[in-house]
Amino acid sequence: MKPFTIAWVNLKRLFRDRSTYFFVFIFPLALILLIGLQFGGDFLPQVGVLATEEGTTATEIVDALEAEPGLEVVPLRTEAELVDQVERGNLDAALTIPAGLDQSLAAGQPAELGFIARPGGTGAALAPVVGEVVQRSLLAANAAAFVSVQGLGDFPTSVALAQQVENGIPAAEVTEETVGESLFPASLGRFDLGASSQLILFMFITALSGGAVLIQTRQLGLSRRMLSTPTSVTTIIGGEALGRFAVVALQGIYIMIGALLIFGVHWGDPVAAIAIVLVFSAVGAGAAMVIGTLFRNAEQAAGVGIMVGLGMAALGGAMLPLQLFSPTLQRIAHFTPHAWASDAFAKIRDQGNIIDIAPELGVLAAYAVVLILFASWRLRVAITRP
Amino acid sequence: MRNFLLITAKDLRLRIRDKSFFIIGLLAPLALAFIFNTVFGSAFSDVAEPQLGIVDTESVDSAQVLANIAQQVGASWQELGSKSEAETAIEEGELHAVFVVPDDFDSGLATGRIGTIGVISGIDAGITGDIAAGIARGYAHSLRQTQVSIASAIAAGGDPATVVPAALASSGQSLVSLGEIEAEIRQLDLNTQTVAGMAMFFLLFTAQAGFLSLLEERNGGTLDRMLSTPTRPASILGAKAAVSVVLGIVSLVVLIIAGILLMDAKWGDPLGVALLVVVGVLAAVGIAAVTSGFAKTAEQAGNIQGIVGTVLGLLGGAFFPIGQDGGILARLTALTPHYWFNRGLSDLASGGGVGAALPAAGWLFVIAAVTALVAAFVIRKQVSR
Amino acid sequence: MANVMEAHDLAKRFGDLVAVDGVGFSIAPGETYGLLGPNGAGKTTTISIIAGLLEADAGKVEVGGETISPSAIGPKRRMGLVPQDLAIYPDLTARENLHFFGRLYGMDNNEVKERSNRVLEMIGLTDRADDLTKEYSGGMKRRLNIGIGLLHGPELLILDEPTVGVDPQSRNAILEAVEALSGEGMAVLYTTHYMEEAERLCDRVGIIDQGRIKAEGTRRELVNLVGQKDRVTIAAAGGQLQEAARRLSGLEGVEEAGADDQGITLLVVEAGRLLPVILSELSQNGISVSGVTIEEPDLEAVFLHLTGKALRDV
Repeated sequence: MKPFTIAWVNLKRLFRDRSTYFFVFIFPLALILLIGLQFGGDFLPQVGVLATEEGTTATEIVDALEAEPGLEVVPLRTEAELVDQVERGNLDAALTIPAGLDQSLAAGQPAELGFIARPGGTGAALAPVVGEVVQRSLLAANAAAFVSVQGLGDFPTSVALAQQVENGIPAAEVTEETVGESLFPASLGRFDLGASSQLILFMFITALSGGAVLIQTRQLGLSRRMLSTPTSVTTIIGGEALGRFAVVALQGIYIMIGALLIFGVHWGDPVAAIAIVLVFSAVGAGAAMVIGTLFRNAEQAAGVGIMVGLGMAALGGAMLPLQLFSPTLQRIAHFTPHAWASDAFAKIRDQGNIIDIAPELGVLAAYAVVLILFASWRLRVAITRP
Repeated sequence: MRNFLLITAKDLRLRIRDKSFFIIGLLAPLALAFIFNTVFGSAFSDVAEPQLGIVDTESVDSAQVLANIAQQVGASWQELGSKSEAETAIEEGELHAVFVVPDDFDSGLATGRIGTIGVISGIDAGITGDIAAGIARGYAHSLRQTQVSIASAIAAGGDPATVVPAALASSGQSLVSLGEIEAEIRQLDLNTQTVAGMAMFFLLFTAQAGFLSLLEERNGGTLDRMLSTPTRPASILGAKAAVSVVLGIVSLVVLIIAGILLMDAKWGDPLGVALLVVVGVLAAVGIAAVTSGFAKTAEQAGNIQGIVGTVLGLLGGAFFPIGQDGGILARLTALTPHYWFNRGLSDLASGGGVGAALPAAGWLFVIAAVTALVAAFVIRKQVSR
Repeated sequence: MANVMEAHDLAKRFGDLVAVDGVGFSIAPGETYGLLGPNGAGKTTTISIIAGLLEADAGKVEVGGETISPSAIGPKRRMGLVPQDLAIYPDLTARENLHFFGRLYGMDNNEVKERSNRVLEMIGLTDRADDLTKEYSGGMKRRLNIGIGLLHGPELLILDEPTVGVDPQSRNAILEAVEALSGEGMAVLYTTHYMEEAERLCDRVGIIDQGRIKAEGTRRELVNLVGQKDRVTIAAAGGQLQEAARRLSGLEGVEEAGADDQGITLLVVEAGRLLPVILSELSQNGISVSGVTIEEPDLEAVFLHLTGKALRDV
């Protein structure tokens, strides 16, 4: 029962600090929301459009652009804003439609639309897509211009003529097909990926912040005092780790339920999901104990905790999905427990159950055991030779 | 002034002796920037250059036109022997999309029979797939344009014998042209951006060092001892702020140089960067002074700053960019020093001189001034009893 | 010769709490003045005002003829403060601690070096001078805490309960050091709630309670206030000690009676004659007595006489 006593005292100390509530409970859900809003859904290139005058042709062009599936249209009001947004990378490209376009066309006069993009960027490659949409809106006008240049009729009459003719002439059909299997299933919800990533990221960071607590305990001489009672080093480590484990597991289950209720996140088989949370919490608790025994100063440990927590999250696919990693990087990623937990979550999202994720759970459990054994050995050294 | 310097020197010595500055101010931001670059760089490096191809076809004219357009948008171009070969190349990630033009497409055009152009793309090709489809549709449209022009001219009484060659000759001409304008790049490349983001994120914690030590001294009794010597409270406060400023500047300067050497970061005009570093540090120190001013112990101050620093970092785009779609987030991000620091550097990135960084530097200065004013009220009580 | 320090009618309140209420006293060169009182009597507040850490609500402090306040920088050079709690940097060595504060007092580099060596010798830390003070024992830290206060040779050394929580050996070393400094002509303001320290060190003692100085004078003068009365300390347990003390104070010949956790303290005209009566009274009240001491009058008795409270652990 002693480890539970130590764990309980630790928990009480932790939750006496108000910022704990923020980092453990509020912040992760806020971040899932933020990331879901920013990145969830489709990643479409953004094209700003400035229509100086809402003429017929301009409206037609804008409507056609909006109907285009591969890009998102952002209406803008001033040219300065448009240029600024493109230059700063907030827009991939922008199209300016000059005033008086309808009049120029009515008079058969040429006009120029502006297409602004950063050189070498995604936007520059969008030029043919945007150009095609623009030209499509000008079919009749261009035909009429040709007719009048050939001296076969005046421009306005020819426009009417061309409009009749064009209906009988379809364009060559373009068929699109895709090959391969998508990295992300189509059923993936807006918040799904972000939720499991943030769950992994935050559980680990919360865990590591326990390293600093362990150091404080040592600094306050509490560990020595505990050792002076009939309590073994393993019991102390066990108790400290158990306290941390409890917080992390609590946070994990809280985030799971919160994300399920608030964002409708699809986690998959609940038993398997909770199993991942529990085993990953044990890994985190072990890592916290290691950090807590390797450093002597709580601030250093906190700094290292943040660094390791964020670094491993990035490397382990908790910031950017593993599927987007290069093959080499994917192999490196699997040195982190994060990657294994990510894989396990992906499997259960895709109908997997606890048997399917047994290999991932096994690897995570091995991490936990190794870390806790290492920490026990280090703490024994640290306490007995301060 | 003398005592101000003495206290500053003493505190700097203590901060160097306690190694947390090296971890929080130097090691952590550098290590994270490196990891982020490795991870994100591997995922986003190839967006700009579409890799396209075409299945070998007897419709050489059409194939040529498509190849020309692909070249214009900067895509690489490759010919493939068969459709299945193309599919394999796409599945293996060698190509983004491949055009399939039937052998009888060109000959059909002459006889008025309209064929079909196929575009095969990888399922996750995203924008490159759209670009390929856009190219194909653009070509299909230009063909249709020519046909409509011819049909209209003939309907208007034109002689096919003159109209057809004329229409073919003017193919691709339009009343309305798309004038392509190259925008300046006022955006940091990924490497530079992550180094800058991490540097600024951790700066908020480094900048707290002086004020944390003030709280420690207050609770540890050495503050009283200093106050019992002929030392003005303002000298003590000033020294604490100076320690934060010095450590902040050292941290940023080292990270900027390390960014160049280790991560190929590109920083633009040195004078402009120096200006941004100074005002950026002042803003961070101001914020740290305010958060510390509301705390009673160093631990509390650290906890408050943990929240403030993380939220500001996130809103300011230190981890991922926050959209500028005019929403509430876009407005909030402009309240963070991270945003303005990044923006100032972006303004310098396009080759601007110091002047280009002035607006961002000005906003950073405003943040510094406002927080300093608030801090002056809340933190003063910490050097009196 | 003019007084080194003069305090007049000092008053300070914190909200509703009146911490210091009209305190005034002075200290002459070479004189050791003790401020004796229980915890919470206002000693530390008084000292903070005198050291220029705290602004008084009313009254005035002059050191060397210059008025002290938190914003008066100059006269602080004349004083050295030894705070009650340790006020040293754990991550600096003893020498670095001394050097830093010495420079704050305006000494130049050479002067600080020379004085530091002397002080280190005086507080017995020469051997460990270049070790970080966080490696020190509690007593060594205490000694350094005091050493810093006298480094710049102040005219007035203020020691706020310097022996609290100190082992007997270090405590004795501290008291000897104070005696030596006083012998060299330094004025010392010494607060304590240990009666023996005040008796041993102080030329004059001010007895402070509830923010007021109840009496002031040399030990002889103070004891005379009580008259030739004996102090009887009865170590006892069980029963209602407070109630028993109240009953005892009703006996003829008992002047004062007070109780605390450990027993009862009485001021008695003729202890030898009255003791049997007292003991039988206690046993009737179900209080078991484990020890009795009878002392001639001392400052503790004076304190009891003036405040009706035992000095220790009030």
